[in-house]
Amino acid sequence: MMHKILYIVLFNFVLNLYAQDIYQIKKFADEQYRLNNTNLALKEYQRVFLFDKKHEFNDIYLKIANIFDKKNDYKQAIKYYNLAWQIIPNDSIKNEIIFKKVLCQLKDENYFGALNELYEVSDSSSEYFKLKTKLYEGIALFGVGDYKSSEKSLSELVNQKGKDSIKIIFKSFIKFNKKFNPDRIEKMSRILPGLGQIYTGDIKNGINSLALILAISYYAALTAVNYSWFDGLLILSSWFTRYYNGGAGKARELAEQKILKQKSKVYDEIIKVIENNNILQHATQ
Amino acid sequence: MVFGQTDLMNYNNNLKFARYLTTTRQYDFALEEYERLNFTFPTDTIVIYELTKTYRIGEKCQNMDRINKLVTTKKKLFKTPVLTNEIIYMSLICKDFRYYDKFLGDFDKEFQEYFKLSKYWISEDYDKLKKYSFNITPQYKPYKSLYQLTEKFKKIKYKKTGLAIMMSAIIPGSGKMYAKRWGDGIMSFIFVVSNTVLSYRAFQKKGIKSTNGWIFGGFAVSFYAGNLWGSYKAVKDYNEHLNKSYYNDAQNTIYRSF
Repeated sequence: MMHKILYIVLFNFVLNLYAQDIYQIKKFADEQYRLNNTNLALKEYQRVFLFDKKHEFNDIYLKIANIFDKKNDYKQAIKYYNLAWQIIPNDSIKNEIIFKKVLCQLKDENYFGALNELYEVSDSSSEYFKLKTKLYEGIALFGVGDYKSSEKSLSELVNQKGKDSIKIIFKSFIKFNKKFNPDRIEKMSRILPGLGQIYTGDIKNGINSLALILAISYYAALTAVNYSWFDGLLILSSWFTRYYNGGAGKARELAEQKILKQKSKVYDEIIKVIENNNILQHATQ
Repeated sequence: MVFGQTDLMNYNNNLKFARYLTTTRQYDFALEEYERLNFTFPTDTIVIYELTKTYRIGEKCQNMDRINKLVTTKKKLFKTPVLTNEIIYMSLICKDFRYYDKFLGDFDKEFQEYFKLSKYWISEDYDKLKKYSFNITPQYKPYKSLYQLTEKFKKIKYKKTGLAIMMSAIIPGSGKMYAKRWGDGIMSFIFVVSNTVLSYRAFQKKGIKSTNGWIFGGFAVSFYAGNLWGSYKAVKDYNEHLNKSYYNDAQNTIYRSF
């Protein structure tokens, strides 16, 4: 009997020299995570995740989520943030996980999704969480184009250094938006052809448009005087209409593109401010 | 410790993990696992099949040579041509037909016909497609739909470029309208007609020395000529668009059959 037990123990020992159990894999993954070998760490953490039936390694969810987040795979990151959120009992850490999810949604430009996530933030008397919620809410509202509500949310962040930078970015964007309002730009080109294009920065095409319309108008008038009003009208009906309307439409398109480009630029600036956490650090000081 | 531990790197667990990675669309990771399994168990048909399939569903077109090598060396291990299916599917997805014909002999006649037809569709070889005739009555459902679609495609009545040019030569813009570009056609009509009328009226009033007559006459002629070219182009685009819509239907039928 003694021999038999000894044999089984030795046999298992030999087998285990080559086998890799969940603890070894976890240790290996942790080491790769520490060394910043994120791809290898991600794969091995997922192996642990799949075989960890007893839920012994709950810390891996957050690590997997963080790696997916870094790899810009926001949907997968949110999936693992959700898992981490479910097993963590601490309300503060739960809230931080929600904010990470919100940030993923914002980076993924899913602003309504971000607003939806914010409802999950548990009631807390902490000023830090209140401010952070307001800040993220403001960014998401900015993303959906509700600038008024966005400004309202952001303006509640008072007495902070970072608030000023957000406010400046926000104000300049509103100003920019008003300045390059597509309706206004189109109207400009209707009042004086080419003006809308020149105003939005496309000087060459603006001057071209203006010169063309002036030449057509002049020629139409000349024809009306020298021939008849009907001939003048004929010139206007085809040439003038085409280039006049085309120019105004082009100016509108340019303004829309400019605003979209600026929105994306401003949005990146705001995200950077949040990621650097400067605002909230100042807020909690 | 020794008794209670499970080896995560054994065959079953590796396979389970590779499948998990495939279902979560992490194909690069999954392929690493499958390749390792294949290296350790080179004759395991489940591993070979799933490895090939993962290359296909992960659309790893750059690995076509690897798939060819796998299928060529391992297909004998399979009783049915399931592995050959994968290289056929992969070729159709990647539009890479270097190894396609080599494997067609592994299938019975009905499937050979279906795959030949699929190749013509996917490679947009419409000449061969239209010349292709069917010698068997299809039983396989996707084959039936592709057969019907091909028959319909053969009967397409394309718009004629010559007719469009002729129409636009008689009534400016009508060639474009024939190609269903109504707005463009109307605009062309207005431009050619208004410039012609302007030129005519100018010549009528001031004779051959009328500047307006020559200017607008010149515009009218250039717009007229441009409109002829435009009508030709509009019909060409219309026909290409028609082919594309049939191509998309065929592609959907073929890809859905995988």
